[in-house]
Amino acid sequence: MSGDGPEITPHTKASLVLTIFIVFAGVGAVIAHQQTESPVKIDKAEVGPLELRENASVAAVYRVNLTVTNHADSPVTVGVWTWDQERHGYAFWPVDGGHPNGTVTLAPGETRELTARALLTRNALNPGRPASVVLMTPDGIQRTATTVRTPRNSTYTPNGTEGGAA
Amino acid sequence: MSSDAESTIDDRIRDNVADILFFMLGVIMLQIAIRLWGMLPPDAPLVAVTVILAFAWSLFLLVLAVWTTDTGEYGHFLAAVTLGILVLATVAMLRHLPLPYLGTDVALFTTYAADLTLKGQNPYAASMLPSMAALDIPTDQLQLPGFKTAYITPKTDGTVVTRLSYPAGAVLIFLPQMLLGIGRPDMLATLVVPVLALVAFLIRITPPRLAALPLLVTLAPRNMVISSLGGINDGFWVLPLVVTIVLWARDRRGAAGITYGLACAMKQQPWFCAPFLAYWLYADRGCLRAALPAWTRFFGPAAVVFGVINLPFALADPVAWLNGVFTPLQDAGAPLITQGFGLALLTTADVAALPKWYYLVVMVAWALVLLALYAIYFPRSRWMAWIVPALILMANYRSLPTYAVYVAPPAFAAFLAHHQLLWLDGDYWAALDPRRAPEEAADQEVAA
Repeated sequence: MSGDGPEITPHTKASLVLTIFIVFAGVGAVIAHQQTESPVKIDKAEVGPLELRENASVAAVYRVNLTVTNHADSPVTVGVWTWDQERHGYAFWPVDGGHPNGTVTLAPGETRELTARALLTRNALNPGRPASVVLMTPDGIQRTATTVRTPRNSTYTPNGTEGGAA
Repeated sequence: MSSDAESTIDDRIRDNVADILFFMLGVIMLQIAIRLWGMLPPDAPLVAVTVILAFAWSLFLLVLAVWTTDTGEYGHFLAAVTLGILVLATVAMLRHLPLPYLGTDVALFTTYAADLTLKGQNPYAASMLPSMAALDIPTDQLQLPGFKTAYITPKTDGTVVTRLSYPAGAVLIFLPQMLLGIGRPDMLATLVVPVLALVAFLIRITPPRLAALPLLVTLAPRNMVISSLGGINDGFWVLPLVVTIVLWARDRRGAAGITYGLACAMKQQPWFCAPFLAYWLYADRGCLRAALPAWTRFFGPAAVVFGVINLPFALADPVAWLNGVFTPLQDAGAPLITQGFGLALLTTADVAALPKWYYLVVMVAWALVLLALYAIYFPRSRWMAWIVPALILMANYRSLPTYAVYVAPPAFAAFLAHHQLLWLDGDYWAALDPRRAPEEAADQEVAA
């Protein structure tokens, strides 16, 4: 110890550095989140009916139906994504009748029903299980998310066609 | 329970660490045997022999745990036999798994890029999309339900990454197998050989009583042998980085620089070690003037090796090369989707919708925090330098599980070096370490 004051231990220094980082990252996250939240809101979301059973134990293709509204004063382009458990990331699904690249542009204040066929894997496969759906702008900056549930009244027959109510 | 009884149990545990480790290896091998039984087709003699041997050996290891065995004498032999069974399993998988079996765009792109290089084209300036067509993957169905998503890396505008995004070493390493014409178009041997060599090298540098550990490190978190056959190429950089750690521990810094440059020329992860190693060299010498020759001695050869491998591509089209190598940070067009095991979960779990720039800023800040902590706790922290890539990338908007899994072998080599357990030249490295305290060395000489 060289000065008159108490010695600053390595643990004190480390705590200080970590505290500054946590505050920096936390405040930054709040600001970034506010800037990132999308003006396009999902008013209603549902999944079904079953389109195709891809694999008995892994995945099936469902029709994802969304009612969305653009609350911004300018047009906003969004794409539909669902959680892909197999890759632990979101997978993109083209919107029916959208742009050639699968996205769709909403006019200011416009409410529209969107439909996309999505491959929902594992957790989302069983009837009644939740599936995460995200609307994301092409630059990935603005997004909004919701959770939907696969239909409880869908059962599967061995040949992959949809059966009756469970 | 009395303290005497407790200490007796502690002593027994300490005395039987090697048996405990080989017991754990037996359990892991049992899991591998079950997996081989499940994934290999049943109609080939080689498969039958492989599965029988894998089950028999795993059960033998369990028997060994209740047997009195001199693991000090037989530890390396037991580990080598286990490695032999892994090699046999690899040959069986290469021969009998339905191929092509590439499970990632990494392997697709790098092998295709190697093909372009052989044809005299610059792969950094070309689209990698035709690589999928070469394996009959329908490129017009990338966005359709039912497409195997493991082949693609999506971007937020719904398109997929079509750019080569690794340093040139990850491409050039395929050339020998291509020129020999073995196993095209899959190139799986090139992916798996570095992993098997890594396991062998780790066994070689581990004391016999601990020889089960290298196998646990490379098989338990994720079976690195099978993963490489699925298209994971991290063995390319992990093997030279582990060699670097051993050379570094022996104070052969020039040679360590060569292998470090090789690791950096394969993938981006080892780049993150550089500032920490620079601090280590600086702190060991105490001032910048003394650190400069040490930096030159290590980073000089590293830069030369990295340059020799990458410069031809970088000079041919600097922008294309930079865009390729820095794709995860700055790709043309939309960013890659957020995905990972670290902070990225905040976004994918919908806790907070955070953009890519936020993750970049936080990752840089986190790297600086780790460097500050490294300096604060130096020299206790010094071997942590080899593990930081996974720690830093936890803050990235993409933190794939492989970033964590494949830091385990370098962490193990650093663990051996830190505890002076590197087994080199037939003896513990402790006996050869020039930095060992003189009184400690004298004690050991007296004991000997």
